[in-house]
Amino acid sequence: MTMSDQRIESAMRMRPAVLQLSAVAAVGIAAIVAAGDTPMQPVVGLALLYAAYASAWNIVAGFAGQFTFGHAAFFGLGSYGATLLTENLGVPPLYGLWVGVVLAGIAAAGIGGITLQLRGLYFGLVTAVFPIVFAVVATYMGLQEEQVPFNPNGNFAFFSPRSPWVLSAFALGATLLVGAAAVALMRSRYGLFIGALRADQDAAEASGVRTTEVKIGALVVSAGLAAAIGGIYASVALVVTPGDVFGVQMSVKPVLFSVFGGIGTLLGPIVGALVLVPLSEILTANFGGTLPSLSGLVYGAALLVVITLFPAGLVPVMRDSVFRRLSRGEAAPSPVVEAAPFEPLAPVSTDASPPDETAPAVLEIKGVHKSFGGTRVLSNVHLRLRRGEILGVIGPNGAGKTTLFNVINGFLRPDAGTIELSGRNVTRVRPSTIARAGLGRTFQTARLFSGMSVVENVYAAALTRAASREATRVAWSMLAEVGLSARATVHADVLSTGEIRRLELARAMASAGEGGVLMLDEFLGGLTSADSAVLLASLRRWRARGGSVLAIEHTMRAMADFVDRFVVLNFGEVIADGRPDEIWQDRAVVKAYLGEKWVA
Amino acid sequence: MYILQLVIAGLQQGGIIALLSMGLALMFGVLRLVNFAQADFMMLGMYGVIVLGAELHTNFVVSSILLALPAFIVGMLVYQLVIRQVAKAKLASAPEHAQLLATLGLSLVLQNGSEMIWGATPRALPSSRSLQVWHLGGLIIDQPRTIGFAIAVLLGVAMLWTLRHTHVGRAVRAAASDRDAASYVGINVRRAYIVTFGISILLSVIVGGILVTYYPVTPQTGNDFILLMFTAVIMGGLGNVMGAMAAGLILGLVQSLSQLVIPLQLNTAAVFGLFLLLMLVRPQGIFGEVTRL
Repeated sequence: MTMSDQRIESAMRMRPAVLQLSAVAAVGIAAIVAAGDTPMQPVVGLALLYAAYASAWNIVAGFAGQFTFGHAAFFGLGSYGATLLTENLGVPPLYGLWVGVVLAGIAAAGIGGITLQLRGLYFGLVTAVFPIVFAVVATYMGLQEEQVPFNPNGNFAFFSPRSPWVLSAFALGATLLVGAAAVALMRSRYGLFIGALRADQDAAEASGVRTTEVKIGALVVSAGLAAAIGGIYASVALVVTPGDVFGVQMSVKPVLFSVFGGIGTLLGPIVGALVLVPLSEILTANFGGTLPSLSGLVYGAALLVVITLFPAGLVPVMRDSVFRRLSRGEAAPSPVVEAAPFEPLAPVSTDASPPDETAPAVLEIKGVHKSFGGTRVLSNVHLRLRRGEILGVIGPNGAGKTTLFNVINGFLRPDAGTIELSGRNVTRVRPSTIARAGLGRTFQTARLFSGMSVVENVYAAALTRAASREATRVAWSMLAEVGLSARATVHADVLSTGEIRRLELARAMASAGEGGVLMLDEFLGGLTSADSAVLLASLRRWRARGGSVLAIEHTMRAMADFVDRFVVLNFGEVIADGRPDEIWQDRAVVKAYLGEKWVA
Repeated sequence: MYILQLVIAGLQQGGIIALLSMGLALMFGVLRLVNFAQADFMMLGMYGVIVLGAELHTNFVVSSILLALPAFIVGMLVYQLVIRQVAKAKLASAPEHAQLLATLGLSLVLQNGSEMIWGATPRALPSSRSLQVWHLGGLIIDQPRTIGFAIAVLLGVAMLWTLRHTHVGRAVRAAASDRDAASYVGINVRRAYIVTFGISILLSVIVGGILVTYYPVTPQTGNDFILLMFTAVIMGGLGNVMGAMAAGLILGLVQSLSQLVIPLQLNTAAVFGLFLLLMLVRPQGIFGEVTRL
């Protein structure tokens, strides 16, 4: 598997977007002019309309990584909204379709709410249910077949039925509009959150990204655009039926075109539709009489061939063969990348002494219990992290260390007990809120935002606490802190193990904010001593600037020189708490690690 | 009495959904594969029984038995030639989607290919059997549906027994629970995968053989069922074969009993509405376990 397949265009790499959309406009205008008044004009219009529809689907499925198999629900609402308004109130479809857009937006928010907790395949499969329900209800309401009223004298807002090119022009406009909307969205600060969500929902949430809102937001935008296109489609199809606009085919088509052209790319869905729709229409026109299902067969075969031979799709494959990247893994310029690297933070003395007993607690865990089924994993855990302290949590495998972290940062809800962060009760609060309250974490196996550059990884986390200018400054200074400035513009996917840990630390620091709490899950394991030294130095500086650290390791040895205090967990209980030299002597600790017979 | 009649109808319909969903759940549990073409293999089984009936004059039971082995072989071939190829060249970061998209392509090919061969007009078995009923007290019991239900139950039990008590079944379950560990202890995981796919397709084809006795077939018949199947599989807890079976029966009952409270035309909406409510309360399904992180 080469790098190219992993490359999903994150916003930041959409710099040539204007160029790409101009090319689409040029091709579209040429096709419309060439088709003129011939029977090819409706084909051009349909292809452009599906290009727009696939691009709308691609926003939520490709860019945000939330596959849906039920976009017909939104498309159909647009079709019905426009048609019913024209039919009953004489409103031109161009204005009527906005009702469908609003309905689809509301429906998308509702669907997002219902499917909130679902991920990946679950989410995709459950969304497939909605168009079926809508179709059943539409049929029940007696809307089996709605004619789009023919208005021969209608102006352009009726898509001028006398000049077929007008409809194609609107379809082209829709394609460009959806493309531009995608670019604008991905270039905004939400673009980074969308990229983070796509890469790793948990890591994004733990970095302070409101993944639920981002997910629903992307769905609402995508659904609204799909409904607008559905509204135009009604005038192409002339008759609106539930089986068509809410049909399985209507949900499958955007998937098909996007995957064929390249999901998660700006041009992919457009190219997919512009290739496959005319192909299928021409086949139907020529062989439709004898082989009515030929076009469907071609769709299926095209999907099979593409997914087997080049799963990234047509556009990425062609782009890679045409423009070989000069420097492998180099990310394209983006606002944060272009910002001149800021001066590193002012040097601070790193030999700050550990806080004394009177230092205020920044993280306070009281009586936390957590069980999975019948297994008790955490049992009455009390723990206090003081401001400016580096606290090590150690314990044998299965002692409950990672569970403790997951309870603290909100991934898991404790069965009992409270967690206070800087005096604020954050028990049973969602991870992004806890992160914003000043908590950053790393994961036992690193979870970066792949597909984004190194600096964007940090920038996305910094953006959850600050406006873009300040976030840019934070991102660059955190990279300087961990010594990664030189690698800022490469893709996170190409980093070495040591660099990955450094980047995770920089991201955690950016999401915690200065003076916040860092939680590090076995982050020293498997590192070279040079890498460890860099990480430990930045942790000491973090502490000197008023931050605090909670670190998990298996072994005391790894951390003995840099922690101020150890807490030892065994079978979910705190069995010891003290300075490193005290812990060495502790009978319970020796017993937990080595067994009864080693206790002197 | 009316309610009892509806319960019987619901169980009969549910039995079919249950058996279909078991195949899908098995496939998901073992291969982590969502097969959009599963119901289209059922459609092929329906056509197969009609064709065999016309050519060899065999009844649907004999025809289904005749189709079982070819179905198993076709299933294994599809796995080898399509699914495995995709697994090799998967979409980075979303491997399950690549295979799922391949099955979507397969579904389109099967539906449109069937339409080329058999046309779009609905076809049914020419027998008069579909009209025969038993009278039991005041109840009217539809014969083909009842026979179909009985076969579905037998097949379901046979499949569970195979999974629990045979060598192949244990290999399949081992591969499902931990692919790597299974291969370390000498289980041929690839063979377990192929066999699973084959069995799952076989089940679909046989269900088609039962269904065609009372349900006319078109190339798109699979679309009437695939979402119900997924619904049952998700309700049962993704990958839980027993759960899918129970959920399938429940769906059939809900579909049938919903007539008591809402118009018949909305029963599909009732089924999916219930499903969505359930997703709100128990996103992991009725019998699923909470998996986090």
